[in-house]
Amino acid sequence: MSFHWVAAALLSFGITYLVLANQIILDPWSALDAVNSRTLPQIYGLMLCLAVLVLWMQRRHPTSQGDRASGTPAAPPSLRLRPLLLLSTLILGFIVALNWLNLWVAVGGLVLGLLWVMQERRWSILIGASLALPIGGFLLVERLLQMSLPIS
Amino acid sequence: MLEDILTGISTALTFSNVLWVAFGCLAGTLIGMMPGLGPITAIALMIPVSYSLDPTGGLIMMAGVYYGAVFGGSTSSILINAPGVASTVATSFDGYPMARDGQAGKALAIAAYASFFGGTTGALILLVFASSLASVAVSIQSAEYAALVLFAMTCVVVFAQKSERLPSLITLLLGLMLGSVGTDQLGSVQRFTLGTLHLSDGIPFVLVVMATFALAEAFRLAMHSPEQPSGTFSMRDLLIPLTLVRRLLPVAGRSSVLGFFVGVLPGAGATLASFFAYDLEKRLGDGSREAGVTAPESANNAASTGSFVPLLSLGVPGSGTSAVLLGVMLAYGLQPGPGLVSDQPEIFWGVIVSMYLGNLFLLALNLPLIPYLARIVSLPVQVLIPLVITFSLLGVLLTTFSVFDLGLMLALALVATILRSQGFPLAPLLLGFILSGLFEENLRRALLLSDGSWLYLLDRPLALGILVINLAICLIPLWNRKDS
Repeated sequence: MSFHWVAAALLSFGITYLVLANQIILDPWSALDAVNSRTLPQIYGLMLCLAVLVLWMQRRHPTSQGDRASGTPAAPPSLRLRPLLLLSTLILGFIVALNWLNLWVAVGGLVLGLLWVMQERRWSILIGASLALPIGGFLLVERLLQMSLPIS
Repeated sequence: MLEDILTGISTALTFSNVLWVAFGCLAGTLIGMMPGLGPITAIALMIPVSYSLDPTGGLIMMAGVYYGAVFGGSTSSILINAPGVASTVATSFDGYPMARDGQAGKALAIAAYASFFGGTTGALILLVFASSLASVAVSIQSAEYAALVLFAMTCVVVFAQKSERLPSLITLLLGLMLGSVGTDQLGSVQRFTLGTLHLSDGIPFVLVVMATFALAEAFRLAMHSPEQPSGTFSMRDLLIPLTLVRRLLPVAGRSSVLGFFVGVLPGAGATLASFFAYDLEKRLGDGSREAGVTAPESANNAASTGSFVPLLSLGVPGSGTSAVLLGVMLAYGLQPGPGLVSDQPEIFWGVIVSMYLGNLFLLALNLPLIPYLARIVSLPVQVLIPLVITFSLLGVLLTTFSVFDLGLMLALALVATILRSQGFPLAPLLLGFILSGLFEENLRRALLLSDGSWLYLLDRPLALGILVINLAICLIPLWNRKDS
């Protein structure tokens, strides 16, 4: 994702936050306070919009050496997006599955899926980790620490 | 004071607390050694464990995790040139070339001794100064607190690298915004909850930590696929000649003192301390590689201890890591600051004394284990990433019991990954999130006391002093620009 998209997203977020901050309903007493429930969020929103705009301008028109340095991210990323998408999908699947499955069963499935996505193909690791983690977790959390999990 | 220290010693030396220090050091070292996982991640991963302990035991364990992870980070920094955290970057400058030249064991041993020296010196200085700092802190009220928190936030932005100042400000603001979600404590109104009850209590800090550090770090590792480490290590490498020890002792001494006082400054922390110390040794010292490993290692460990001064005695975190620790303390129902020193001296002094114990444990546990522990660094990424993701998700689920929070965590982690890939530092975000409530609460309380008069902040000498220093710090970038 290029910086311009990130800056646009941050700016949109700042503007949305500012609009929501203006919609905070105040009671009649605190409305008269020098700093009420709205004040600081309004300042944060405004400052974010300004800071993003300044950074955006700096990166579009680097004028000085310092600006040029700030115009480039620390390390030009050669990112592989496929693992990120697969990992996110798996986590999302795990979250959805928690509505139907027992927690530890879902954890076992998640570990197996994550290992597979990360190109782990040794069956000993795949089976071992996806069994050991949920069993270990169950024993530690529900037996040793006696935590009752409403989710499981 | 002596009585308080004795209370601390008796608290720290109870069997269970000694055990938790040892466990914390070991766990911190193991996690910190893994590429990309630093003290913040280590502490975040251990939060669920700490919740099952009493506050003293939990904090003592967390302190152990902290300096264990700082030390562990140096190991991956030296062995595979992969500093898990910024504070160990300077160690890799000379440590990694030493490892490449077949001196991995020697570099690791020097790092271990230097860490011990730095940590111990820091703990001793803390023991002497903590009380006086705490007595100064008693005079601090809402106005001063608000000024101090503002000072910490200013430092985070101003002391960042020049190219990172604006990105730091942006992530700090994002943290402040995230911290403002939920029911306003003073006005009792709902803010930014989008009409859902899930957000009415605010965003849990465990969720933010896990999302922005543990999960985002796992995503980053998956997208970058770092090189796998290799190498062999023997016990003989751990012996350092006496002549070298004599040469490195003054280096460790001055670096430790420098590191401690830099660490005390809110926002400066271990990273700045390690770079300062490395730079100082390269400019003024003998410039040897051994000194190049000793200086940053002593400094970053002393700074880690130093960062506990503002955290424990003022309630102001000096770094991202101590911000997480502040969150842990708040979760325990403890309010760090003058009240902690006077009302719960066993916790305050227990944690401080345990730092010295922790350093002893670090040396005793890690030195003989270095050849074996180093193998953890070679844990394949395809196994490491699933483990980190699973532990992060479980960590949040077991503390919030909310599936909604898992979804929010995933969304935040994705945003954090994108921000990081564009060069936005994430530590300020965490700092902003933690400080958000403290800043707003204290500022509003101070203004309520003064009937809304802003001049009240200027009437109080300490608050005025802090604000003036704050303003002076803000002028540093302008001064530097003029110079250059």
